[in-house]
Amino acid sequence: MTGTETVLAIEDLTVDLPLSGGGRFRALDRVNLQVRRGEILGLVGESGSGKSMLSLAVLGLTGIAGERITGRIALLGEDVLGLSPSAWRRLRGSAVGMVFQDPMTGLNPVRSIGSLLVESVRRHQRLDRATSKTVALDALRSVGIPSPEARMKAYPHQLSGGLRQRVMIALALINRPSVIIADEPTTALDATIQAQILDLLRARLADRAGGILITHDLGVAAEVCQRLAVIYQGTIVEQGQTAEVLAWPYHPYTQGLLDAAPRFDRPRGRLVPIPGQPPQPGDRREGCPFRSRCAHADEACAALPVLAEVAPDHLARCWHPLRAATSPFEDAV
Amino acid sequence: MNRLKAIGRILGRRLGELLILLFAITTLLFFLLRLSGDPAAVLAGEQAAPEQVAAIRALYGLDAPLPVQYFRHLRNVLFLDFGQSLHAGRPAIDMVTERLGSTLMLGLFALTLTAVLAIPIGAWLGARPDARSRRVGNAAIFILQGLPGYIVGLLLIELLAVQFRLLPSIGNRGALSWVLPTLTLASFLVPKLARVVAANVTEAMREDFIRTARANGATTAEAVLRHALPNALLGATALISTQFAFLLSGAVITEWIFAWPGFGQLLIQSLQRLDFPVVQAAVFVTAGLVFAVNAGTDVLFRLIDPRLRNQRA
Repeated sequence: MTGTETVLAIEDLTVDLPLSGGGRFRALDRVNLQVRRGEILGLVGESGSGKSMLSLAVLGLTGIAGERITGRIALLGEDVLGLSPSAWRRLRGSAVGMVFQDPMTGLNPVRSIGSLLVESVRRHQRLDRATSKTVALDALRSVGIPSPEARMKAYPHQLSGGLRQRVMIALALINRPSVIIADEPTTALDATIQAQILDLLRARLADRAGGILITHDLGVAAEVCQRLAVIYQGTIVEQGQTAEVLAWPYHPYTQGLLDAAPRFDRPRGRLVPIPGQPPQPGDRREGCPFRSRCAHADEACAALPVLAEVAPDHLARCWHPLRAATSPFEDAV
Repeated sequence: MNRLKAIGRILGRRLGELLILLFAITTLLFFLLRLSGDPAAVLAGEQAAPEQVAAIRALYGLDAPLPVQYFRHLRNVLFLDFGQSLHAGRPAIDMVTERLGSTLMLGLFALTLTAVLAIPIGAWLGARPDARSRRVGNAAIFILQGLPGYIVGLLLIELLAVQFRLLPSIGNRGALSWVLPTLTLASFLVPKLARVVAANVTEAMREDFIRTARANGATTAEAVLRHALPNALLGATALISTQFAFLLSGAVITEWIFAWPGFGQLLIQSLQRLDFPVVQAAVFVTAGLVFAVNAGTDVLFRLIDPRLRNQRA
């Protein structure tokens, strides 16, 4: 049911943050991403790769003094970076909804579930209190929360982690946004609950919205996302259809992530960690960001590779891709 | 319903604790005052003849054995009878309750003014942890907090009562008399409370749930007022209740400066005159009130924070 309408387009998004010792740290470097309606894009990377920074940038909630954000973030075709703060604020919760990682700390402990939902409904829709309550009840029902009437009066501490994450999802979806960003929505949950929450996200997003699922877990991405973008040190290093990227990775970093993850479809072997450490903010960074940890690196890698199409709808940013690129024009010749 | 049940449970438990506390205070005071000397000798004065002392002893029942006196005292206290004031010759408890009203009212005014001023100031400062306005505000609070209450009181008298003759500065004569003492007490309390509220709001603003609220389109004002402040009020409530206890017993200096016919003044005067029944009545009533305020705070905590509601008091 993937539509063709692009609900979120990120073009050349670059975020520079000031470092305490002076100088700047490039948290995101010319990132390009598109999310179409009904599609979930997986954004995969390790801690500090800039994946959470990206979600906060789309929401306009980076909130770091002295930051510099350039590029274009188009929500339903409208460039939010050019909007006034209050116009951008009105899109938060209505055009774009966010599900955060930790449902234990993400809900206000002194506010009832119902009051949080109703507050959000009344902020974005001109509804009276009674109607808003009905909308809130429907939202709780739609995320599979049993006896929603009772839950409306409950406080976050009275709910389990899984229920709280469902409440967070209800809160993100309640004003029917076109874009949902879920930042590690299942990391803080038990494995059995994880699957439920992922099913729920997939079902709710297929309806009408496009989504970005941020995760470090390739298994989660494989299960939920149609397309995948692998991010390393603020740079997209590989992007394409999920199945294809995971089956035929071109970038050594993607291959490294696959080797480091446990698999059940192969004879048990040793997990291979990626050698070395990601660079620290403030390290001199030129060329390919992965070259200090890459077995294939040579002099060519001192220059940043372009994100080139290595196969139809499959991009990789590497001078030495793991397999030969198939030219999109090959068949036509 | 849940709330009411929880509150009833707390109050019931607290009432039991109060009775134990009052018994302990009464006992302690009785023996402490006996230890400090023979009341009859003090009453009769230094030049008194032994017969006069004996007469006084008989008059106040001080000739009975100590345990008998103690149990007699306990029974009297049960009926709030602390005996006659040695100085005024009137029931001690009456003298205390007469004064209590004006002190309680003064404290209530001061606390209300403090809350009305300090909570918005604190929330405003707390929401701007990095801005220059915050640094200026913090410096102002720091200076104000360093000023002793009596200096502020004397400055206010000099300015508003002596220089401009706008307000009365002595005693309790009409509504205007309340202004200067209230301001003096508040000037001491506002910086304290504002600082606590500011610190708590700043802390709450860093919480994940503020980010959730903002991701749902909350304005900064909404995030502060509807999400951070309710969390910050817990600390503020704790401070207000301890300050109320201070106002009951410790507003002595302010009452002294403004010749305020209050509780603190009575306590100091009675101590100077060795008027034991009044001191006993005053301490008894203070203990009861401080306890009542603490119990009330417990109830407030549970109204503010649902997490505490189902815990045992």
